Amino acid sequence: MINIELYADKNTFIHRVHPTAKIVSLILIFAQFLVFNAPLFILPEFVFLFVLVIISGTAKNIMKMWWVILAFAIMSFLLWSIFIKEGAKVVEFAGISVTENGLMYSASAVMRLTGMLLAGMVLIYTTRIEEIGYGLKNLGVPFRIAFSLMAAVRLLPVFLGAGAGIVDAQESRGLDLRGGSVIRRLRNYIPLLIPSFLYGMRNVTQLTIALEARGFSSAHKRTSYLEIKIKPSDFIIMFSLAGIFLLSVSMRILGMGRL
Amino acid sequence: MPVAISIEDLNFAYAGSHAGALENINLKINRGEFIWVAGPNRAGKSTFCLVLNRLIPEFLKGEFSGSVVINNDDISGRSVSEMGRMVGVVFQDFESQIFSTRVDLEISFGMESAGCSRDLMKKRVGEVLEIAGLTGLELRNPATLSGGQKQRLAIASVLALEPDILVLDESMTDLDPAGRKKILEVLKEMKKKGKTIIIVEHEVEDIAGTDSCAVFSKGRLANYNYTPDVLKKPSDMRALGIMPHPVAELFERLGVKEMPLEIEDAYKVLEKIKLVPDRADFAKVSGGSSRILGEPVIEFQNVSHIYNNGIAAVKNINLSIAKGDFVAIVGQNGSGKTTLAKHINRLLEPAEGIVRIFGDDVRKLKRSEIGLRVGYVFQNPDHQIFCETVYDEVAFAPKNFGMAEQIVRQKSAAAIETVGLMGQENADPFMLTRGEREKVAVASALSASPEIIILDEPTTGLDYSGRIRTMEMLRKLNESGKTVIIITHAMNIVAEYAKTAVAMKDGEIRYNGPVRKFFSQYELLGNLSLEAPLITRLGMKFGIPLLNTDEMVRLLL
Repeated sequence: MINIELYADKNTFIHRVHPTAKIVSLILIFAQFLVFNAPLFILPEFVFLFVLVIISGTAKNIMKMWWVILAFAIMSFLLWSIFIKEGAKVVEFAGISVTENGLMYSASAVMRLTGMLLAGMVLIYTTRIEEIGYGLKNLGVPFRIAFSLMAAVRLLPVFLGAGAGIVDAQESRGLDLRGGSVIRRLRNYIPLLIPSFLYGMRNVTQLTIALEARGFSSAHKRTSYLEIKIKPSDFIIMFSLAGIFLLSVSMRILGMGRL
Repeated sequence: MPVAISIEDLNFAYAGSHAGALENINLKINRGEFIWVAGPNRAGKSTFCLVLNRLIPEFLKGEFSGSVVINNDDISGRSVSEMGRMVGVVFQDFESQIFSTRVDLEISFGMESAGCSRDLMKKRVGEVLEIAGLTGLELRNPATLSGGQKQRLAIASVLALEPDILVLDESMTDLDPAGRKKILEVLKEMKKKGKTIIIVEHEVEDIAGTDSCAVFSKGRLANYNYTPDVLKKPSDMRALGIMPHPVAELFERLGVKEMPLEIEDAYKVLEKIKLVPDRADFAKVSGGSSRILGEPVIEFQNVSHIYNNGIAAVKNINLSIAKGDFVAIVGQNGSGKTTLAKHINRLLEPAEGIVRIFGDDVRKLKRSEIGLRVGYVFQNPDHQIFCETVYDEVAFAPKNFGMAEQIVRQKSAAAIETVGLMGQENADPFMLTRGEREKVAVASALSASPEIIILDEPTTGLDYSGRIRTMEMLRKLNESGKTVIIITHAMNIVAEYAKTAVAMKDGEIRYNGPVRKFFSQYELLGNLSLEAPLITRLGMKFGIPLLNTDEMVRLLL
């Protein structure tokens, strides 16, 4: 049995932050990452995200995805260090040179990308999909768009579950998915994609029918069962992040944190 | 009595299909009635259900004609979302009709769409939780509920819109006996409240409480009458492809005019007409010696398995299965049946203990060596079918095991013949019926000629004739010397076909022995929340553990 539920049901301070405030904060955190280019100026926000991961109690869940984060970090490090040609050369290998500028840029890029990834994960792990929907609705996002986002999160386990069942079935008929080289293993998985997808799609159709039967596309204005009160602390969070962002933009205009 | 549903001259054909899914349907259902919809697969039962809330023709398109009037309201101009407040439909698959991550949010989903106020929603969530027997679980994540609880949640979330009519389209098919019982209790409660209830169901022993029965056959309404009147004509039921009531069938074969349906009544009638089974003759009919078994081919030694979440799915299992046995593994969902079975072909590995097949530790065998000895058919055939033709699907395993081209062809042909799919070798498996896909799945497990074949719920979702065909095929395989292991909830199938019963609860084996002895132990069955089939219970009234109608007839005549 597989359990791929993303939301981690806990009751930390971060879990209790109003979903609207969380979504606004996520946008501000993303924007903040884009203000500076110099690694030293990005570092404080990067460190802040690690603190966020720890106080939100999601470190364990995020560690399960370490390979995704690492892959992101390595990819962006390699790409940036190879493609930036300006500045003094540090190393040269087989015609590819890495410059000082390139290293600085790639350090920034790594922090930026993994930082954004962590911020997104904290949101997903600390907020129910219904709460995200509720937050988006408060921000004026149409329900159908909010619902598509919620559905994507809801259906992930459906497709992975279908895949796991199909893997079991084919392994019992002698398909070797655990041995051989990485390429070979990947190739062996290809024939499983079609039935997983078909089975997943059948489930999606079922879900659509079931929700439709409960009045999904009703003409009434949709109400909400969830009621989450916005607290002074939610405003403090949003205003602090917005303040930091505005301050950073001014600093940048004054020429700071540039490479 | 006021009429809840009135249908006149209803015809429907799915877009792209020539044959009508429903043809010339005329019927009236009174308010507060409990209706059983019966019929073989593809008879039009689901189509009928979907017409009632306008999913047909609004959502699933096709050629539609005729009139459907619900509570004196012609629904032809209504949208599906409006219908939710008149007709609630619950579907078969409990996994794919639940959307939310919290029970109360799931229940309120429909009310949010209908624009209900928050106070009203809170009130109704409380009410329907109670009706569905889910009070106290409102903050749970539905993913952590049992199948039966999930299905009751689906019922609750439909009831929240206060429809007068509740439709369950095979909603109990995937549930274990305890889960089914609980749903039937909820439905009886609903009937008391004056709701009209329609249930589509294959299991004849579970529909005792219904008032009337609508039998569909090839898209037509073949019979519509009071349930007991329908049940009392077992030969008509068989002819229409639905499971006859076992007690009625017994009396038909005995040639008795009276036709009781309840065990108590049947007992009284038999006593009255002095047709009482004699214990002395029992040894003759039971064949006494049919359970002579060979060497052990599967052995579990102190096996435990612990899932990632730390829950022990099976605990300290010691089990030996002999060559040529026909084993039924029974127990409620979550009792560890599938976990146990998956150890036999090493889809799961024990945390502790050893599993041996033919004397070899499975951990030391190559996957291909296991696959040649153990065939496994999964609960849902759609999980394993992935080739474009029936032949490719069946030939997949022997090809994988590196057999020569000619042998692959030979073995595949033999497997296709065994399941009776000759002539369909080039068909696309996904275009076949559910019963036929089940056969493809069985054939593709047989084609590597394994000595042991394991089937997880081989009859779920199959109609009466599909069920008999599948089980007769397994019986033949068993008679030819194969060891057959099935996981099932259908006790009548266990009684009719299996030799050995292995009963599980909470990851432990609570019984392992002859089927006949298993069904004569009422206390044990009660502890497992299982019930012996009707005929066995009737036999036990006379103190004789009979397994099927045949035995009873032979004993009485």
